[in-house]
Amino acid sequence: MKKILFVALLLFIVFACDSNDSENTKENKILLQTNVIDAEYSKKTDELVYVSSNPSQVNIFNSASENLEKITLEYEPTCISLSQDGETAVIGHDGHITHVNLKTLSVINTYNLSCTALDIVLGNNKWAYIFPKEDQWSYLRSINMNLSYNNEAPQSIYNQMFAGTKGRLHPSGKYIYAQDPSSRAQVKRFTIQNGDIDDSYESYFEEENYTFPSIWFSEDGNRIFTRERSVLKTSELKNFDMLYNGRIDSENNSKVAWMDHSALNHQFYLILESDDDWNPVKSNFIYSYDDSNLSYIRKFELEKYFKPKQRGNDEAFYDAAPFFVFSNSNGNRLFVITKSIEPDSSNDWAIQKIDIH
Amino acid sequence: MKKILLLGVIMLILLSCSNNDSSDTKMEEASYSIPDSLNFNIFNQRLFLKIQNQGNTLINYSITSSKNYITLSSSQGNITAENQSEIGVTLDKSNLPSGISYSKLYLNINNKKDSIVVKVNNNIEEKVILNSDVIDAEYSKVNDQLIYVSQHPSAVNILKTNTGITEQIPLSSPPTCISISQDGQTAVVGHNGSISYINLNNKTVVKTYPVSCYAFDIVLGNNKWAYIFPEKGQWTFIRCINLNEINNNESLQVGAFIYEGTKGKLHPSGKYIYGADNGIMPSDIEKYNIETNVAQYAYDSPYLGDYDMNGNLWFSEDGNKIFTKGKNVFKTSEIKDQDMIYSGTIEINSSNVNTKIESLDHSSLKNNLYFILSYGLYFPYKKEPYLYIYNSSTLSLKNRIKLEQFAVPKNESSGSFYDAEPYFVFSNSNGNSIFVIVKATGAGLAKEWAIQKINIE
Repeated sequence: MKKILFVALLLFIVFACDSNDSENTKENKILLQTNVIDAEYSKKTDELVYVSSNPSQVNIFNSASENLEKITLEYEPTCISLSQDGETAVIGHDGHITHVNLKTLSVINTYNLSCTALDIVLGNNKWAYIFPKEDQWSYLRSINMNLSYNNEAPQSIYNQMFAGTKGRLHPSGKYIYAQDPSSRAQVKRFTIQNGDIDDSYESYFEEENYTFPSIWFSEDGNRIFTRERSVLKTSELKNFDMLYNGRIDSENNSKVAWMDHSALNHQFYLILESDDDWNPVKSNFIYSYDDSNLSYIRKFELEKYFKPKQRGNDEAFYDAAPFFVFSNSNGNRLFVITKSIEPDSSNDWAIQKIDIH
Repeated sequence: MKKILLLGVIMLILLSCSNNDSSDTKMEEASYSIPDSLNFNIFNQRLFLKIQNQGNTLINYSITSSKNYITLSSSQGNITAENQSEIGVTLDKSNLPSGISYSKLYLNINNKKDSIVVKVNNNIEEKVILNSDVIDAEYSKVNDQLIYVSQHPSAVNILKTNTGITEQIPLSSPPTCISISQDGQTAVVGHNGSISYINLNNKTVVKTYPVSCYAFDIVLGNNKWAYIFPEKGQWTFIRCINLNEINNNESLQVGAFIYEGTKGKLHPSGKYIYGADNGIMPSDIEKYNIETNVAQYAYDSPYLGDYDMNGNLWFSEDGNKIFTKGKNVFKTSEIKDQDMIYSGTIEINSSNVNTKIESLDHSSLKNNLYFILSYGLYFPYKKEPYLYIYNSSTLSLKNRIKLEQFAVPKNESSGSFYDAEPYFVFSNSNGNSIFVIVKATGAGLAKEWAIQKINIE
């Protein structure tokens, strides 16, 4: 009797295996119709906002409803920054910036800019701050969007910086912190409380190696995380600002390609890439760490891309390379923007969802 | 093709099932291997117990723990021939004492009894982790309160060292320095462009006053005047704030300039402030008279580079001696010619270069000096993870105590120890407890400040 039951069970498994073959190819990720140039996430509105160049537009993905809306742009975008309330955004271009309203899905205005925007920050005071892509010693452009003309503030002793610097708005809204691409790779704080930059200073901290800079904040703004996995503490007081707090442990000396913090989960989430500045290879995992002591917790594997059999090529699965990771406001889900590593894939961008338990 | 292969596998399984059928009915003696012990280091929360079936027969196992701080991912099961099982063994260390604890896992494998020793190394840190950072601190021996200001959050924190209870007074802007009144009832806190007057008894901010500088250091006089040493301005003046007045209460110090970044301390007599300059060579110490409320520059030491002062100073409890950051000791006097006269050097036997005293306290009851050292040639200077205890009369070493390290996990099974960098040291009124404020520099902790209590015989 046992054997009969066992045979029945096995036959069931055979058919189940058969049907799984087709299920494996069903992708859960949300495939995008555009590429992704830059992205930010608003925990106020739970919207993932990214800019694309094919076509040039702002794409607004509501992470709760998974509804996608767009705002058409006149110029090709290079970067985006959301306002802290999640209502508006600025987009950087080559020689212009565009101010958009994310609620009415409209362009508010476009402003001239005296550089190509590598990175951009939208302040709370309707000022935009643009990091130039080219030149050597240059300056952080400040665009006063409250004015009708002469919007760009002049060069001063406070806004000096090296081209290639990238920055981010401190959660207090008072400062921009930025890291430069020089051999010392110090972090610099620009004060923007009064609109134009009226104070700045550099950290005593220096990276051990040259870096392509990128920085991120913890949600409360008390900590800065750099691409080299260094962690600094911030302070309103210069003597206590940007002091070294520690380093995130990683095998193979990986670099941080993107980072997001969930204060609710007491975790931060990393996209790591290989220690090769000129040809970095992204890991197809999202790594989570404990924010209380920077200790490693676990990793989440990303869904692969399925390539069906065509033109004589066998069907195949390709790893997903993550570019951006964001936790939602509830801290129960991650949204990861990925791209297939398949060499021929030029447009296989997707949003992957990872539930956090 | 897949189905054919799978059916082949099925036939093999059927045959093996057929063998098992007979073993179900006849329990043979099991051949298995298990470890003698499981050793949890201080970072391990979970280990895996591997049971290997080395025989040809199915084994049934059950496991129980002698202690309830151990939980098992599976307490019973079976393992087919030449296979193995891994059982997760998880610890709850919250109620375990510090040090080594032993317990046992009892196994029953095919009715044969066996056991595994579980050794747990637990580390409970004695220091108290703070919920804030520490910008500046002072200690009141009148009421045995350690009072420190923090900027995350901006607050005055009052630790009653007899009870261990900490209370907090929120501040409206980040503090830069603090000074407690000699009776321990009030304090003033410096900010960038203002100061806050604090009532430590009812835990309130009495009033905030504007000040024409960034407060680098602050001294609260017995006359209800606050004296603020500016951070900037190169040659500048002490700002003297009359806390009795609501408006127009700022006066500049009278007499010679002071230099930006000077640190000041109230002499125990309450009549004078002594200052140690920073940023000028050679470093010196100087005196200001506050008997008539507005500070009046009196004079500096009679030395010009003969002795290192290095930018900070502390008094003996009676006020008769000054201990400088440069490790040199000076006598004080009301008479100018006998004031700030060299009386010795604290000799340090350390392999580190350029050692300086970062914080010092004197206990006349114990006749001890307690201090901590920084070292290095370039900023930011490092701090030795030791408390130094010296005889305050002979300036000779009595003891050097290593401060407790911070144990920081890297993952579920490993971690690192980080030295505690001391920033402030204080003796209580009885001289039998020392409180050291330490930081886990570079350890990556969100809460990196702690207070370590050290008992003194």
